[in-house]
Amino acid sequence: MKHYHGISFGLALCIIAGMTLDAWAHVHGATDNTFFTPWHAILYTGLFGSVAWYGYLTYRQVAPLAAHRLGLSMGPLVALFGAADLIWHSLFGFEQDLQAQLSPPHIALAAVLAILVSIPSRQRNAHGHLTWLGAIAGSLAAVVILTLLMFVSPLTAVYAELYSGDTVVGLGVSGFLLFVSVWLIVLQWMRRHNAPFGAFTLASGILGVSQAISKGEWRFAALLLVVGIWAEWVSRKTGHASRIPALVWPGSFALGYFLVLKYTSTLAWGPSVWGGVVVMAVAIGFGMATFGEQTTQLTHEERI
Amino acid sequence: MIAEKFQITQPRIGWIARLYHPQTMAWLLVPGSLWFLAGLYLDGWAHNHGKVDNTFFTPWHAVFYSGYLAASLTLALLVLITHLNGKIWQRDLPVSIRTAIIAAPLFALAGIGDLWWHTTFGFETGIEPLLSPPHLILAGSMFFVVVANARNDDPQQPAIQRIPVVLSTLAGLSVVTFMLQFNHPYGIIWPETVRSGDTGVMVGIVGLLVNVMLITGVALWMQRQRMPIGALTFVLVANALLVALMGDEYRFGWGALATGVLCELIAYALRAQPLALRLRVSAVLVPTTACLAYFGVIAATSVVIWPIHIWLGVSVLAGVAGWGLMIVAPRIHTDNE
Repeated sequence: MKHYHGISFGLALCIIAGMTLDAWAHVHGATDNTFFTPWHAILYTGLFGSVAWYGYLTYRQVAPLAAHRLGLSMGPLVALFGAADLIWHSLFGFEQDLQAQLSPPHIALAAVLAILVSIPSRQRNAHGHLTWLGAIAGSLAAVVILTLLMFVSPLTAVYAELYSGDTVVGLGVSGFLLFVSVWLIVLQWMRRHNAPFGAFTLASGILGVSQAISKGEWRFAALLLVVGIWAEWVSRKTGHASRIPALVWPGSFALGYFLVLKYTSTLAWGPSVWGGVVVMAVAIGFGMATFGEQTTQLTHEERI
Repeated sequence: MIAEKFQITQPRIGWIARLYHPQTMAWLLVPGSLWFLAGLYLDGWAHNHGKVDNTFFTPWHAVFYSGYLAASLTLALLVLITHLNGKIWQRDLPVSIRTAIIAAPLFALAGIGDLWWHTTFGFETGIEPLLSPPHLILAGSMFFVVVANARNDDPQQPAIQRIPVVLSTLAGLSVVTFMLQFNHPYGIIWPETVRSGDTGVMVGIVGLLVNVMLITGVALWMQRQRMPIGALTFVLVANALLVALMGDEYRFGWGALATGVLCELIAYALRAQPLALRLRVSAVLVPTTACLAYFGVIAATSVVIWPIHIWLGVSVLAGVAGWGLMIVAPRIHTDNE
């Protein structure tokens, strides 16, 4: 059945390629006002191809059936949100810039895309562990979410090199913490599902490259790749149950980010701000690890 | 589990043995924690209302540091009670109280670190005090002191006995929201601010997202802990009013009330459903409702300048982000697993 998973993954890749190229085209003015662009062609081929493919897998009763059914159920949702988008445009007009990124039908469509892309991540190997393809698919789903947040991502909007007022500093700090949270969610999810060795590096690299493509900030993609390798080593040394990686990962990324800025351009934030961001990033890691580590034993009434 | 740890092996005096009980300890911790928290918010209020000079000796600092002293003395008392009952605090007290016992002296150490920081890098200005590392370590240790009751809780207890853990949740959330004031949605109300430009819109969006995700995390934790009915609403409203103190934006208390009541009503309606499903519903419902209530309050009291693409889009995005939070939420185990 391996080739089934390969096709699912290929279609997920097609969706991401279409989305990333479309974002790049919008940033670089390589779009016109028509719907029929090469980028949309790739995106929608992946989208409709995925739904049709999951329909076929559901019909053939291929495992994991629940995941394939979920993929199939995205078909009507795409149609629904697509229609909602048309109605939205006719009611409220076409969105510009940030509005387009945040318009409700667009966000709903992006959520559907993220779910479709994440379907291969539900496969497990014979030991119940996450597979390579699954790990990559999970990272790609995070790419969809980060594309929505690109306007504040520290990898695309580098506020820490701007000498500006408190408002922009606050924006930069919050954006940094949001990005770190999404990245940590991916790593924690991989850790929980026993991702194969190298998955942290690959996931970090994928997130970094996907962000760098649109704005060309390759220095941060390289940083994420290095931090990914470091994350791999820390995780291996500390064991599965330890909370230490969740503290070390965000702290290392935050420190590395400010070091990269200092030595490649300008670090406009004072030590009270960048030092605070490092501490806050570590606190997020701690909070996330603590929040996720406990298990809940169901009471008799709650047991299903 | 907690009850087993509290079985006394060597009681010496009757009243000391009676004090060594999870409920008694929980109630003992409440006054110090609330005093400490009140001091923090009073000081914040004074700073935001120009009621401070450049000296350390202000009434607000007096409340804050005496609160710290009260909370620390209570924790020291618990160590003593544990010892007098022939137990070892490092082993026999709930983990949250043990962490608080370590965090209390850390607070004092961070104070010394703060002096060094000021000497080395100068005094912070603007939003820097909320971000400076020693201040964050102070806030972090305060957080662990005020949430001492978080794991000293038994969901089987009647609602009245769970007041300490509810207050502990409020105190923990409020310490974090205090430090996030630099971009809190009740600070500068960006959706009603004219000519704020794209930067203002982005700041408003990110501030709102960060804060509703925080609230969602707390709501999921409370639901998983099977907190009594009304607890979530109380925590949301009390926290909103505390933050509102900083900028006199008390109107947002109504938004928090609407969010809490609606989410609790829906959770109550779904009470027969599996816990996993209820948590998923809450993960989407709480952030979306919190955003919509926020914009609803602004629309009712002034005007929402942001276009519908933005304000409704942020609300939907918050729901999607809440769903994402479930990825790292605790797993739910049945007996079969």
